[in-house]
Amino acid sequence: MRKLLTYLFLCICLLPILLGIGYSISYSLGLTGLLSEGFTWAHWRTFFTSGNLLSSTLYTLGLGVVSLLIAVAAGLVVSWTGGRYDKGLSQSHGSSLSELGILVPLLFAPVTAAFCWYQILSPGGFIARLSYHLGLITDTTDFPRIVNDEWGIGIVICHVFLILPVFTYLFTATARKHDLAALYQQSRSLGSGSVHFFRTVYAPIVLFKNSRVLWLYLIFLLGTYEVPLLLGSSSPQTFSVFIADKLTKFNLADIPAGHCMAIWYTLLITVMTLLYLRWQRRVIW
Amino acid sequence: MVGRVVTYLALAFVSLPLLAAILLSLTRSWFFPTILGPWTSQHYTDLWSGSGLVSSMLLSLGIASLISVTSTLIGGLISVALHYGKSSTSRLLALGYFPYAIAPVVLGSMLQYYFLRIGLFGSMGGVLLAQSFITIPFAVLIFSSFWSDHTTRLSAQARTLGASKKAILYGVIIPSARQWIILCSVQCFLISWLEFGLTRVIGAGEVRTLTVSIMALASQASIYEAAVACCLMLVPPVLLFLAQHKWISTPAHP
Repeated sequence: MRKLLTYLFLCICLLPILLGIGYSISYSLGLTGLLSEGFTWAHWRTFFTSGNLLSSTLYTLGLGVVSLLIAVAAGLVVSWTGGRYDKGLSQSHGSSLSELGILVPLLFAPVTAAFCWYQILSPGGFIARLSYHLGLITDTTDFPRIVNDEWGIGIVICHVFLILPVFTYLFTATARKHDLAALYQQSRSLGSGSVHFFRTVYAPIVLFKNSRVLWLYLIFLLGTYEVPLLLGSSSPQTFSVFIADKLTKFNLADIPAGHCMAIWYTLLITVMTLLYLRWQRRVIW
Repeated sequence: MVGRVVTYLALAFVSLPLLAAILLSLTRSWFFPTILGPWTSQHYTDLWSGSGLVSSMLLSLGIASLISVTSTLIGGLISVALHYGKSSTSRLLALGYFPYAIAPVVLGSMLQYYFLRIGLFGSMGGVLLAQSFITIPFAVLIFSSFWSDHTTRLSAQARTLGASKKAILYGVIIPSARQWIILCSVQCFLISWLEFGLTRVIGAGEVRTLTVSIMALASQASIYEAAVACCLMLVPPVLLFLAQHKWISTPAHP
């Protein structure tokens, strides 16, 4: 029974990925599929020369890194100010209303968050209407494109919304665990300022202790689908939107490109996950 | 002062989408440049007159509940097997990260051919199976934090006192794992409840969960219905969050 369950776990973890990647490899090499004419590198050649690989990789990585950096910076500031170190209250306000309030995005599905942010940021949305009443714009066309734009501003805002509570919670918990409030009082009595303590002690400790989680979140951000689907532009596309678009639509000629991208994405994520596991192993063991 | 301003700004930022969903679900004729249209509860009363959202919600609840129960059960059993097995648990556990790291929609897109071949494409069975690929490894990872020296010593003590394997499982392990079982079932429920990509690809539009309905409504520009669906989406997580906050203490995370 034990062996059976162990094999079941191995199957659940590995079989879907291996089957998926196996099918993608054979499709991308022309060995299977409705238009298959035997082994060929043609699909890979087209994939490498089309520019989709570079544009999707840079776009997805860029969005992921920018979202992560903004969320980390905001999380650091919110956890620092929320901790009210200057008043020595960081230990006492365990679950205040503001601390619970910041967790609101955890209740949101990415698709729900994307829809709501679209209604807020689109040219016909809440902010545009408010801008009209404030006399800042006279028509929807005057409002800058924040959603479905090529820079992915709407995507970044939505990503930050979704991950900010996690980071704020983590950073606050780390600061409490390592009793940074006591350290702050000590540094104050030695003549250090708040900004100096934040820059040289608080941020480095909190970031170092959570660096693996940040890496894991970058992996997740590279695979988000709903947010770029609703808030992103049609070109460039993120990995997941590009792959789903090519593999689930009816244009047979596009399918090999989707499989090539799926292989590239899976390889990238596998390498990043292996690095995470190696990192975790070094820290834990 | 600055701290309070930053906190309020952060709270305003995270509250905006919630506010937008509630306002849009309670308004009609929301034409530019009106900030708030006339109030109405029509969209909520329409829920009971065949809008399809209630059935979507019930379907989502059904799938999420089934996933929660089966993943917790299978994940728990696998965790027991891995802990008492001879293989290196940490190496095996590391494999559990991979299905979770790859985007569900990419996994679903690569696997749709196989689901088509076994006749599960576009069916609820297919969606359940596909979601299990993510939630079972996740459940095993959650349960991995349960096993400690304390648990091992407790089981060994029970064995020394003559308890059978079954008695140890039901009398020692399961009662001590109560917090982990609750946490795991809640987390698996939420993963399934919030899931969209895999359900959309493997369900092929036939399995219309609430997340799939929101995307469909948003694409059709049915913003009021989509806003109502967004508000419905929030109900189970809010209830679970309140229940967890009030009654359940969270165990150490894996």
